[in-house]
Amino acid sequence: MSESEDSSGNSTTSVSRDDVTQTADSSQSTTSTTRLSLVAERLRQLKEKRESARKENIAEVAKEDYENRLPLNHLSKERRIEWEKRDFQARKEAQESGLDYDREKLLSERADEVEKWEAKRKRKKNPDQGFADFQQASYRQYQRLTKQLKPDMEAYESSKSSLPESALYPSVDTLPTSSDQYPTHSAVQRLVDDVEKQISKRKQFSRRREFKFGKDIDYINERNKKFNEKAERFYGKYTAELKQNLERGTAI
Amino acid sequence: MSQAVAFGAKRGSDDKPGATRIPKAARVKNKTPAAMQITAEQILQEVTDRQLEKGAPPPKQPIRNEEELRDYKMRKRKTFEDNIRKNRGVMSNWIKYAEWEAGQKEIQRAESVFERALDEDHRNIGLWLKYAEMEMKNGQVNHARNLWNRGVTILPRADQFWFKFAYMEEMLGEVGKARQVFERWMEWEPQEQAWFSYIKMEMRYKEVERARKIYERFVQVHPVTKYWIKYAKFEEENGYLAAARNVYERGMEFFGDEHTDESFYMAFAKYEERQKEFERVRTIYKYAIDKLGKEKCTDLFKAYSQFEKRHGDRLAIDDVITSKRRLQYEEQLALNSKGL
Repeated sequence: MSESEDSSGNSTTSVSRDDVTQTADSSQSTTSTTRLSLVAERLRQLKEKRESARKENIAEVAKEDYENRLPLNHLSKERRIEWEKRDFQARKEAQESGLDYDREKLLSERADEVEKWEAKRKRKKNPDQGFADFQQASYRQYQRLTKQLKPDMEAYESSKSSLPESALYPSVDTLPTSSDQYPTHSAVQRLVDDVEKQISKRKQFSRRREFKFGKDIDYINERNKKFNEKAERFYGKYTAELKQNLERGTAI
Repeated sequence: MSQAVAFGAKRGSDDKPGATRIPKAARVKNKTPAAMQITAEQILQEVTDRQLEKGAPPPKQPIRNEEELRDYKMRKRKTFEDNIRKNRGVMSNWIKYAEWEAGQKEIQRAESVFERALDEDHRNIGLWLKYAEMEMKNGQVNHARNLWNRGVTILPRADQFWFKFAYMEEMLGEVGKARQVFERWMEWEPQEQAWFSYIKMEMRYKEVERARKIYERFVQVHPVTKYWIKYAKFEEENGYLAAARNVYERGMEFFGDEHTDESFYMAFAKYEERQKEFERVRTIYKYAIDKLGKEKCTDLFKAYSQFEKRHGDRLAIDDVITSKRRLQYEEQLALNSKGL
């Protein structure tokens, strides 16, 4: 194959006369045709490879795009579904063979793993330690509120340039000046909303208990009822026997 | 004639002095128990049943004009004032009154009720809190500020006041004023929670330099090794590694040999391990074991041997373990010197 110039000046790749016009019997001619066909074959194979690569790439891209669009927990969800299927199967088998499935499962669980699972389940994040004193309770509330507080960093940064040093970093003795602005309406509104949120949260802390019909009435008053309940809570377990004796009328 | 007897009674000769005389009609003749006895339980049950069968409630009378509103308010006020007169010391009477007035949007009246209540008991923290909350809820910012200032001056050890005051200023976006509140509070050298909340506030606004200065003051005020360690951890977390090392070293100087405890040495060693300064770690552990004496070193030895297992070579591990064993044997010998 050689490049030659046409009469019009275009360069063309042309198969030279020698390669084409070969007689079948000369050995040189057969190698040339086979060489040609080999080359063509290779070219065809390369083209095929390129095509297949392109198709595979497209398929991969489509798959990746699909996976990206899936919800973030799709893997764990799939695992869970698989587990549930296997569990169901195992449960059915156990039932057919007459074994207690739950016991069987317990036998295959490791003791230290079980301990860890139990501890993790019990461990709530920041559980309420109960009432110690009002200061402690107030501090707990303060921590919760400041965790939820989102400081307005832009307003702060802008105030760094607009306000004087003594207003932003005051010492103990800095007195309020007449140039102190009253807080903006939105700031006051934010405070009001927050206070109202605190009040509504406080209401959630103790709920109204329902009235139980049929329970013995040993009170004359709502206040008396609460007192009796309190006494029962603290002394109930010690005076249970005594109470039974009194109800019966005779001591055992 | 002296009147000393109930009506209709006759003065008897065998009457004891001071005995109440029962009228003739009420004197009991038959003292045997009745056939049907009633128990207290049953009485209570009957009473409650009767109460539950209450009839229709009184009709609701809506307030239609100004005059009716004024009448209603006057009646309510009279009830409240009566309750206060009956029981001045019970704060709930005052608070219910003031909250009702605030609910009627009569802020000045509510304020006056709260002030009267404060005259009654100025040390009642709940009262101050309710008063301040009323002011804040109605958007009376300067009133609230004045009130918090008073509260904080009269009861400076009530942490709730300081917390809520600073929180209010932060809510309003007045970071400078919040800082001033905290500064005033720190003058009283309060408990560590107060210091931590000040530091957290500064970190919320990313003021690391100021937080550092507060830590400096804090560890001087509360000289506990735990807080020095916390200071160093703070420096480390914010990426000031040289400063963290400096804190550890100064802590050792501050406490000296007698007062540095093993937790401090362990924290220092762990920090150096994180910085991959293994030789320093070894020197720290050896120094600690040397200075602390044998009794207090158990956790330290454990930590040292774990460190060597992680990073040391065989010799070093053996070294640690033999020194630990030596310690144990010495202890046993001390206990049981006669024979093992």
